[in-house]
This record gives sequence, structure tokens and C-alpha cells, in this order.
Amino acid sequence: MHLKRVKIVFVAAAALVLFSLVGCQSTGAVARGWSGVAVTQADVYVATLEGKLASINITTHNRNWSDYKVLAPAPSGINALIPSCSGSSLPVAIYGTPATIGGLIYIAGYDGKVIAVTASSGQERWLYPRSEYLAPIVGGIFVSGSNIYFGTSKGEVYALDAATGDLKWKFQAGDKIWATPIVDNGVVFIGSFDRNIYAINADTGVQKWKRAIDGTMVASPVVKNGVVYFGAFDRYCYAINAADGSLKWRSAMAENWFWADVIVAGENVYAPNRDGNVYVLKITDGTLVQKISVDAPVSSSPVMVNNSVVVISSSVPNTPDRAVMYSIDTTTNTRRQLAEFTEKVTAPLSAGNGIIYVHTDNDVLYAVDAQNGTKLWNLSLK
Amino acid sequence: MTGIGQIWDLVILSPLINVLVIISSVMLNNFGLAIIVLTLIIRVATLPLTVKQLKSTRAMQAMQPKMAEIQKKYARDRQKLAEEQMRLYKESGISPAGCAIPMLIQFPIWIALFQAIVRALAAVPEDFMNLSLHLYTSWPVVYASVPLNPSFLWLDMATPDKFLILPILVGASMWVQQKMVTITSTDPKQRQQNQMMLWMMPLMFAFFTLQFPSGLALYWIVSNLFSIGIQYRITGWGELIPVKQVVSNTPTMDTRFTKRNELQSGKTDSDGEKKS
Repeated sequence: MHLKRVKIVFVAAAALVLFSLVGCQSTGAVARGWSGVAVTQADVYVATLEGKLASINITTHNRNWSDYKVLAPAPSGINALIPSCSGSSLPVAIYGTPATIGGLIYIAGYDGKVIAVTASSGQERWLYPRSEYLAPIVGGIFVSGSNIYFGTSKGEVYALDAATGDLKWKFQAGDKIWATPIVDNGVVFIGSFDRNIYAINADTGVQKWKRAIDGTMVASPVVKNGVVYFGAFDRYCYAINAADGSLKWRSAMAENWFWADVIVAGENVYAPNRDGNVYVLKITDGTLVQKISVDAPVSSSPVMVNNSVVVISSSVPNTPDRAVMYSIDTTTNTRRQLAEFTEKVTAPLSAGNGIIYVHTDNDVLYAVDAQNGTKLWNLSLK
Repeated sequence: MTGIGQIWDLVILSPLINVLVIISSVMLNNFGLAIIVLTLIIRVATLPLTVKQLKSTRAMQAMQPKMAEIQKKYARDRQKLAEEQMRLYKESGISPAGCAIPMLIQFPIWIALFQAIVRALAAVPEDFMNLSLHLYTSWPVVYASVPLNPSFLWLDMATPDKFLILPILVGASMWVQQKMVTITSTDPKQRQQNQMMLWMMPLMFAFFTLQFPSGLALYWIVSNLFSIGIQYRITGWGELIPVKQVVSNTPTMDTRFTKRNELQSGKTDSDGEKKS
């Protein structure tokens, strides 16, 4: 009897531990999203951690319309039998920063759906695909001309008509794509988990070239003067000739992944790393100019404001929530602390009209003065 | 809590994750094989504890009839009951904590292995991002191996098995393991508890497997099969393949298991006579 009691207690404890470790999600953690902020003259658009698209007036800090909620797919299989674990009870994670053009805002969900919403009223304009779902979308949407471009976790790159959502073309890469594509001079550049960066004709979807690198790539590349710059998981930064994919240079090795996008400013490339440093590399040959400590890992893509690169570093798990925003002067390569938050930040930074927008992991939107770091306003997105 | 979490990550979780990644690299980037190998390594490393726990458990079970007698005899005298129970433990050379302590020591190791698999699988972007913080910067092979290839046989290690084969295997292997340690009792109440234990764990874990990544299910299956093997070596098939009663009088648990082991090792014939 005594032994049985012990056993029952252990079974109960094991069940509790398992549930607390893994929760209802099959993957061990809930996909929450880390959308950045799309900035226009009068408004900002951000996808909340509750799977909603919010439109906020910059002047009044009020919502322009009720948040547009992305509907989760109907639960299937065993999930349909478990109310607390069913898909309908969980919001759709949105990782990509909303894109906006021509009066429409585009968001892509982790459920594999791309949605166009009218900027004026928050009404749904179109969905892609109409009825089915693509593989989870982690990267954002890039708008170029009359098309939008995005990649999926099945390694597909899609080009859709921005106005109608009709499919223009589809390209298949070798593995997952979590990066946001960029289009420059009629060519789509996008990296994949298959350790290649692809150049694809933006009109036809035909591969122009692909370049093997030694690591996975989730950052969006930056193209400047015919050269593609990016960092990868092999801890190197790369410069690739946009015309033919030939390697221009590969930088010195960092100590962790390059997750965030790089910024090209003046004669240098600024590459934030998960090792808590920003690597300043010479644009011509990748030589390390300077390594600037920002004290904690950086996963948020930085922004350029005037002559400064603004970076935010965020504390690691199991430590108190903290994020610090730094401004790096590109003429002197000196850092200056702009602002501090008692929250973690994973989302990329955005800027407009001298204001930096920060979407924290607690789903709060901050507007920070780029000059002096003053927090101008904040708004809970919950 | 933060400090404990950091120590846990530094001392237990991160080493396990890196070892898992390296094994995956050695296994030609096959994460399924890596899970199998690491599970076996951990189970072999903790084998002395497992054996101690199984032996203690078996001894405790064998003692149950005597314990039941004492409980019945001293049902109204709690102090005397406690004294007699302690005396029985002492006479039998058994510590009540003998089966619980090894289990308690192994429990954090299992949790760490569980967490390492979940972290290395990194099925959602948040997990994947944090995986970088566990990787050893001085080991280039670790960085070269990530992200891990989640494909193994028909499975994606990061998602549940859509063909439901793994939940069945997890449930079945756990049922076999439970059945091997279950003792048929004459007490209806205890028999009912035994039956509940026999079915509850397998069903619970089969249910978990419907929701959890296949990598975890693979770990459970390998771990269960290992336990079954060890259990067999120590106590035989137990109640899984019941042996006919060979002693005319009501046997004690000790004599039953001794007899079963003798039969399985071929020392006696079916009448209980020792073979020449």
C-alpha cells in the first residue's frame, strides 16, 4: 500500500512536471511572434502577440480601428478533442513586420496564411491561400512594385499580386526559409536553412544563382552598390556580388549566431551578434574595424537614424527581463546608451521621423526619441 | 529561482544539448539516432541507480503480504503498527527510501534529457533562437551541425507522429514495463490499484505522445525498452508471462520470484525438482 502511494505520487508528479515543461503545445514552447512596427507618416502598424494587427495613430496614440484578429485554423485530430489545447484557443503567432503599400497592410502568420487588410478601416481585402494553409511563415513580407514576396518554412518563396493576392510564381529552396526576402534591381535575395543564399528573378521566379555559405541564414540581406551583405549562423558575415553570387569577402568569426540584419553605413558594415557585440566591418574587405559591446545578445534588427545605428540588446532566459538600447555613432564608432527597458525585446526596431519604435516581449509598444532616448509614449497592445 | 535556473542550464542542460548535437553530427546529422544513442548512454550511466531501485522495489513488493498482515493485526494501534513496520523493514534489511532515493536522483537527469531534446529540436522560432545560448562557442562542430536535421525514418522529430505509430509504441512499451513490475494481489483493493497503475501510465504517455514532438516519443520508447531489458535481467518477465504456482501452500512473494527465476534459468523442471 505504502509503495503504491509512493508510485501514485510519482506518477502525479511526473504528469505535472511534463505539463509544466511542455504545456499544451506539441513543440515544447508556444509560438508567440515578434513582429516589428511598420511606420507611415501618420500611423504605425504592428502585429500583437495575441495574433492581431493594430493600427495606431502616431499623434494621438489611439487605435485607428479595432484590432484585426487573425483567425486560427480549426483544430484537427486530437487537438479537436482537447478544448484547452485546441488551436482555436491559441492566437496565431506573427513574426514578420507588417508591410504596407497602396492602402493595404500585409501580414503573414505562423499558421501559413498571408492576409491583406485595408489601412483605412482594417477590413480584410484578401487571404492567401483562400482555403488551405501554407507551411508556417516566420519571415516578413517584402513589397516591390506590384508584387509582394515571402518565404515559408517549407522552403518555398512566393510572389503574389499585391492588389489581388493572386499567385505570380513560386520557387522551391532546399530547406526552411525564415528570412524576409528583399528585392533589388529586379532580383529577389533570400537565405535558407539549406545554407544557401538565392538570387531569383523577381518577375519570373527563375533562379539566377545560388551561393553556398557555411551556415543557416535567417537575417535579411542588405544590398548596396551591387553587393549583398548578411551574417549567418556559422558566425561569419558575408559580402556577395549581386550580379553572379561570387564571394567578395567573409569576415572574421564572431562567437555566436548573426540573427539580426546588418546595416551598411558609410564605409562600414554594422553586424549585431548573439554574442553581445556589434561587429563593425570594413565594407571593402570585411576587416574588423571595431567590436562594440552591447552587453547582451542581439536578435532585434537595428535601425539607422541620422548618422547612428540604433541597436537593442536583451537579457537571456533565466535572468531578469532587461533590454538596453544603444546608439552607435557611425563617424566615431562610439556607443551611447539611449534607453533601458525592464522587458525583453526580440522584435526588430523600426524608426520614422526621429522616433524609434520598440515592440517588447510583453506586448508593449514604446516610442523613443532617437536623439535623447526619452520614452515619448507607450501603449499596451494586449 | 533565476540562480537555480542558470546553474541548471550551465551545469546540466547546456552540456547535454551540446553532447546531443555532437552525437547527431557523428551520426551523419541524424537526430533520431542521436536521441537513441544519448538515451542509451544516460540509461547505462544511471544503471546502478536503476538496478538498486528495481531491487528495492521488488523487495518491498515481496514484503507486502507480511506488511498487510501487520496492518490488519494492528489496525487500531497506530504506534504499534509503526513499530512493527519498522521492525519488518529492519529484519528484511530494506529501507523504505531504498526505491524512492534512486528514483529521485534519476528524475532530474530524465528531466534534463527531456529538456535537452526539446531545446535541440527547437521547433518554434523562440526555442530555436534560444538554442544559440546553449551552444559552446569553442566547439566549431556544434555550430556546424545546427540546425539539426529533424527527419528520421517516416518522422519529423519536431512534430507529433501523424501515423500514430509512436503513441501506440510508447503506450505498449510502457504497459509491458508496468506489467513486469506488477504483482498479483489477493487484496481486491490493491488489485484495483495495480490495475489502475498498469493502465494509467501507458495511456497517459500515449496521450502525451499524440501532442509532443516525435523526438520525445522516441526517447520514451528507447528508455522503456531499456527498462524492460533491465527488468527482465533482474526479475524476469514478472506478471507479463505468469509462471504456474509450483508451491502447494500459499507462497510468499520471495519464494515465487525465486522459483520463477530458477525456472527461467533452467535450474528446475516443471515440478520444482532440480535438474541433474
